[in-house]
Amino acid sequence: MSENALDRTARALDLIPFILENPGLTIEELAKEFETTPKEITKDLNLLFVCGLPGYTPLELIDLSFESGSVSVIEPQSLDRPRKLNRREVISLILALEGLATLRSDGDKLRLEILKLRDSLVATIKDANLQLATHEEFLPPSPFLQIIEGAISGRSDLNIEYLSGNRDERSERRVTPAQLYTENGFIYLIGYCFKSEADRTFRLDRIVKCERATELVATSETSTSSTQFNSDHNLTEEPILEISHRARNFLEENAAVLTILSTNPDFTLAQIAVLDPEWLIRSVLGLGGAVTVRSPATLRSQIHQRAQETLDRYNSRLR
Amino acid sequence: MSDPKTERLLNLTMALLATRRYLTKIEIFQSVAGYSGAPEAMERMFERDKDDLRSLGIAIEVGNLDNYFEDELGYRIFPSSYGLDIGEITARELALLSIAAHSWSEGVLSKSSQSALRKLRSLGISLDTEDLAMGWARFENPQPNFDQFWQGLEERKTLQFNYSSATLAKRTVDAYGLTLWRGFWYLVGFDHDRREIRVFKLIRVADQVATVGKSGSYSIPSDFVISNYVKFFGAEDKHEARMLIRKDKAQILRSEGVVEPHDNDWDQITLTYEFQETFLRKLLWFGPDVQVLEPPSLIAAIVKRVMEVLA
Repeated sequence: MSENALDRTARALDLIPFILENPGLTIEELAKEFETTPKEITKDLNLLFVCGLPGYTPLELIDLSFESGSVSVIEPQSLDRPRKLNRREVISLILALEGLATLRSDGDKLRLEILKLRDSLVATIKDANLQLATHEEFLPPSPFLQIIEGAISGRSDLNIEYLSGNRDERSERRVTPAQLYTENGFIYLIGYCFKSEADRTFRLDRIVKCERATELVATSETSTSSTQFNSDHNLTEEPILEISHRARNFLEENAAVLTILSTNPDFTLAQIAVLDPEWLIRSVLGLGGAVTVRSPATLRSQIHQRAQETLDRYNSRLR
Repeated sequence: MSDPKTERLLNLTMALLATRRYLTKIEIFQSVAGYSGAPEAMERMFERDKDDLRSLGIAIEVGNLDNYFEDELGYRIFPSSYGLDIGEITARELALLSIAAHSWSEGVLSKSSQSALRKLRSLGISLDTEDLAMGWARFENPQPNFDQFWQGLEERKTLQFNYSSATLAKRTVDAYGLTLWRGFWYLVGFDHDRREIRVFKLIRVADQVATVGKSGSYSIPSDFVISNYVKFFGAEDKHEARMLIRKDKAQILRSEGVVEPHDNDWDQITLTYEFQETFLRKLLWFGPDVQVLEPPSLIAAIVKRVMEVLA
C-alpha cells in the first residue's frame, strides 16, 4: 500500500471543502496544493466519488465534475465545511507568527497586528500551558526591515550601502530584493546584485544605509571590483579542515557546507565547500588552533602569514 | 476499490456528521456502507474506526438515544466540533497567516502549517496581500527528530536519547518546552540523572529518540517559563576594549563605536563586548588591521590564539 489509510482519509475530508471554495483547479494543481502526486489525488477523488450518505443513491453520493481537466464539487453532502485546525497546525502557525513578530521592532504597527492574531490562535488551544515558543530575542530587529519588505512586495529595487565581511569594504549596491531568511540567528536578504551581476545574500545588520531606488536602472553600471573574488585566491580544490571538539559551534553553524569525512574523539575531519577563501582565512584565524586547514597547502600558508602579521602588531608594540 | 478502509471511514464520518440524532451501532451497521460480516467482526471494526477518527481529531460523541432506554447508546459527530471555527477572520489576517505558513520550508512544522492554511483557504475568504507590505521570510527548520521531541512534550512521555556534550552520554529527560533561539532549536526539560532542568541543543542529539513510560508520566511545573532557561546564555557582564584600527579597514567595527583619528595610518575606537570568545573571533576576523590597546587580558588572549595558529 502506497499510503496510510488515515492520511488518505484526512486528505479526502479536506479536499471536498477546498475544491468547493477553489473550484476549477486541475488534478496537478491540487496535487501541488496538497503536497502529493497527481496519482494520489486521482485515487482520492475516485474514492470520494463512491462515498456518500446512507441510502447511497445518486442523490446521496458526493458529486464531482472533471470538466476539461478541472475539478469542481457539485454536491459535497455533509463535507461542505473544512475541519477544525488540530493542535500541531495551530502551534506551527503560532510559532511562525511569533517569528514574524520578532523580526519587527516594537513601534511597528504590523507587529501589533501579528501579535493580536497570535493571541487569538493561542486562545483556541484548550491547554493554555503552551510550551513551544520562540524566544523574543531570537533575532535582533533591523531598522531597514520595513523598507526592504515594502520593496519586495512592491517589486522595486533598493540602493544599499553594505559592509562586506569577506572583502572588508564598504560598498554601494543596487539590489532587487527577493526574499528574507534567517540562519544562525541572523536575518539575511537574498536578491539580485547589479554590482556583482548575480544573486547575492546580505546580512541585514551589515546594511548601513537602505533606500527604495527611484531612478531607472543604469544599464552600464560597472564597478572597479566587478570580479567577486580575487583571482589569486581562487581555490582549485575544496579545503579539508580538522575541527576540534572545542570548535563544534563552527561545525554546527556551517553544517550546510561541510561534508564530514571522519570523526574521532579529538576532532572531526571535514571538507568545506567555500566560495570565497577569504572567508575561511578570516574564520580560521579567529578560532585559533581549534580549526586547522589540512589542505591545500597554499591556504595554510596564507593563514600562517596572516597570523604572523597579526602577531607582529603586538611584538612591535612590546619592543 | 482497493481501499475499503478509507471508504468506510469517509462514509462513517459523513453519516455521523449528517445525522440530527444519535445513531445506534445497529443502525450504523445496517446503513453505513462498508460494514459487513459477523456482528463481533463489525463491532471490532467499528471500535477501530472510532479510534482512527479520534486520532484525526474528529470527536465522536456518545449519547443516550432515548430517555426510556438508558443503556441504548448512540453516536454522532456535532458539526460544531468538527468544523473550523476561529471566529471572524479578515482577508488581511488570512494573508498574514498565509505568509506565516510559508515561514517553514520543510519538516513537520511546514507540513502542519501548510495543512492549516489549506483549511483556512476552504473558508471562502479571499486572500488580500495587496496592501500588506510584508516580505516572505523563512526560519530555520528543526532537525528531523524534532517531531519525536514534540510528540513527547505533547503526550508528557519521558524521552531518552544520546547527547553529545563533553562526552556522549544517554540522557533521560521530561520535555518541558522546545524553542528556536539564535538559529538553533533547543529542548528544555528535567534531566532525571542530574535532577535539575537542563537545556539541550537538538543538533547535538546523536541519534533516534526513544520514549519511556506512559503518556502523562510527568507534569510541567506551573511556574516554568522557557525563556528563563535559554536566556542563561546571555547573562554576562559587559567589558570595554580600546583598539587601533587601520584607516579604511575593519568596516564592520567602525559602525559599532565612535571612531577617532590616531595618526596617518590608524584610527582609534572603543567597543563594548559581553563574551570574550565571540569578541575574539570578531577582532581576529580583521587580522593585522586591528590592534588592541586595552585591556591586557584581551591582548594576551589574542596573542595566545594567534600563536596557536602558528604552532
